[in-house]
Amino acid sequence: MRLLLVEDDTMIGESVRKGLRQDGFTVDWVRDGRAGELALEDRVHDLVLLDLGLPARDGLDVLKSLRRKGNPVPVLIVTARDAVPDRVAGLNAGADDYLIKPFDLEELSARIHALLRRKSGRAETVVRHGALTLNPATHEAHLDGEALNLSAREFALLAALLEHPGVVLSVPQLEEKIYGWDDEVGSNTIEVYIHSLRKKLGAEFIRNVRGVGYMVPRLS
Amino acid sequence: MKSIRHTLLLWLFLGLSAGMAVAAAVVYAQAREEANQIFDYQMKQLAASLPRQPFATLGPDRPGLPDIERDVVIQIWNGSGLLIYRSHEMPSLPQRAELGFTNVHAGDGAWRVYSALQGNTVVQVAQPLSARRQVAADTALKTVAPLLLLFPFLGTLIWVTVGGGLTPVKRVAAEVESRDANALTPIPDADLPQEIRPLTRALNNLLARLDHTLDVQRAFVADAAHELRTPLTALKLQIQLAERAADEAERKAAFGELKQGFERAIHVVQQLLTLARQEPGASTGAKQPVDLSALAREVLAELAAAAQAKRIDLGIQRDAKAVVSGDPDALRILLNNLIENAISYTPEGGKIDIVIDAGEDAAALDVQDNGPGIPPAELERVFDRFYRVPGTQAPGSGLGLSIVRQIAEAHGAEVTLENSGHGLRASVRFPLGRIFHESASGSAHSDFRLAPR
Repeated sequence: MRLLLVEDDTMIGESVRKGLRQDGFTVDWVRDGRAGELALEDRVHDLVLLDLGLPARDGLDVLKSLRRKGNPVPVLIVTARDAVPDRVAGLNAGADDYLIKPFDLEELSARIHALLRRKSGRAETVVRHGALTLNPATHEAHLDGEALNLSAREFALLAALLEHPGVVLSVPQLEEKIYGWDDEVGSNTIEVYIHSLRKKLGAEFIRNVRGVGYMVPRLS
Repeated sequence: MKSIRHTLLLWLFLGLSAGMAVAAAVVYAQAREEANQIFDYQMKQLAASLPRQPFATLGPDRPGLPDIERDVVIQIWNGSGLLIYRSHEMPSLPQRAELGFTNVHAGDGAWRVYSALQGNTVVQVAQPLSARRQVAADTALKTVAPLLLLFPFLGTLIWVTVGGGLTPVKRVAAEVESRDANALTPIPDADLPQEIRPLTRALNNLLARLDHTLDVQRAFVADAAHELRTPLTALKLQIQLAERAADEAERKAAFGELKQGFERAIHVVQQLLTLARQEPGASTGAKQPVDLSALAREVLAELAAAAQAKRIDLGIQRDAKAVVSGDPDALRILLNNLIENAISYTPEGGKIDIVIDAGEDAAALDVQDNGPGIPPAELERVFDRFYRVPGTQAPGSGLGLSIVRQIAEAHGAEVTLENSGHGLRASVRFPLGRIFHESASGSAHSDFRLAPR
């Protein structure tokens, strides 16, 4: 899952990025409202963590213009503004949740998972697909009740494919899902991860649509 | 306690008494004057009405003589100087008298004496002056006595009027009394007497100033609480990351960041404290002569390590003997903040020059760096509390320049920032009158420079 973090404070930004990476998220970090707006143009992020008191462009303005453009990406406001009118204004401007500083990394992760679950229309955090279960919160994967040993990238790739079963995702699309801006992307690393996943899940689990990309077929 | 009523009543009593005394004196004088005229006339008439013929015999009970008061003494002498009549024995009177009116001081008081020549007899009528005084005093008393009635009347009137006049004061007092500490709205004074308005106007001015100060304070506390939340958030996150650390290396790195986080939080708290201490009205150190040049050297020595860590060439470019009157601790903070700012924002290998000038009318201290400067639109805003130029990467609380300005204002000095040529120049100008001017021995170039290693 790829997140956009909009936070002007260096220490907070670094800590949040580090913590969320440990939780298996891919995190892109920008430090002001305008950069945040630019990053959101690409629509590659699954969720936005938005501070309100930002330089260049206030967080609320970024949020409003985002919604005006019809971008439905879940937005979690993370701010020190704790007054009720501020929260109401934030939620009314189109935020999906509101978290007040200082906060726990665990709570932040839990809220992010909750928002992502809601976005995909699932009732529970755990993703099920046939005999496979994937828990994004704990990063555990089970096949037929047996624990699978997946790397963070493999897990992210599998989660991305399972998000919309039956939909073909191109290699660049998959790369966008699992790599942040700071990550080095090798030339055929997606293929390497697919190969490794097929070994663990069975060759037929992930299908290749030649010239287009990869997909996990819908269960009949 | 002073009471307007008591004071007024006291002065009324004293004033009326004095007025009545004067009035009595005047009436007495006038009445005596009149009594003199009347009695003199009577004495003349009496003398004239006495028989012109010589008295045959001398006897006390002769009929035909006018019925005169007991205290009037009549004596008649014949042409040869023989006393031929005396109304009653009064040996103290002179036996001879000048013609006309005279005042005679006899053993038993002063007498008014009238002597007239009637044919060849001399008639003398004498009356003690005390009788006239008595009449005059009676008249004066009768005239003035009714005025005594004024005392209770005026007293009551004043008591009631003053009470009525002071009702608005009581109302204002009740109004103020019933307020809580946060109600600083002006006292309504539309229907107050004009004598009381200056008081309410002054009170309202005070309330307005207090209200403004409180607003500023509330805003500051709110801002401060908000600004403290940022370093605390960072600390909380850093602690959680340290807890999560899987191995020794990770833990070490996490604790390193945690330490930085603490240093930042401590810095913010220290800056807030400094700001509170420099708040106008806060007790500040006593003013004393401060040598700017010496102070600059001290601060430079303290910050040398920080400058050298960034390979910044920090030094005094031009020096002058400038002694200003001020609080040395506060001025040290001012200088420290300016130079620290310059070090923070000057890129590695940069240069920071301190220039101290002592002119005829002012002493100036400039800190010139060759950093990126400040966008012109932000030059004034950077003095606002907690304001930081957007996109600023260098750590800071956003309070440094607010503190600088506050200290400068407390010293009557002026702080300006300008983008000059190759960087930012911060100038502090201490105006004339604050300076113990000691003319600089030329603007000697200083060799005081911390060479970068």
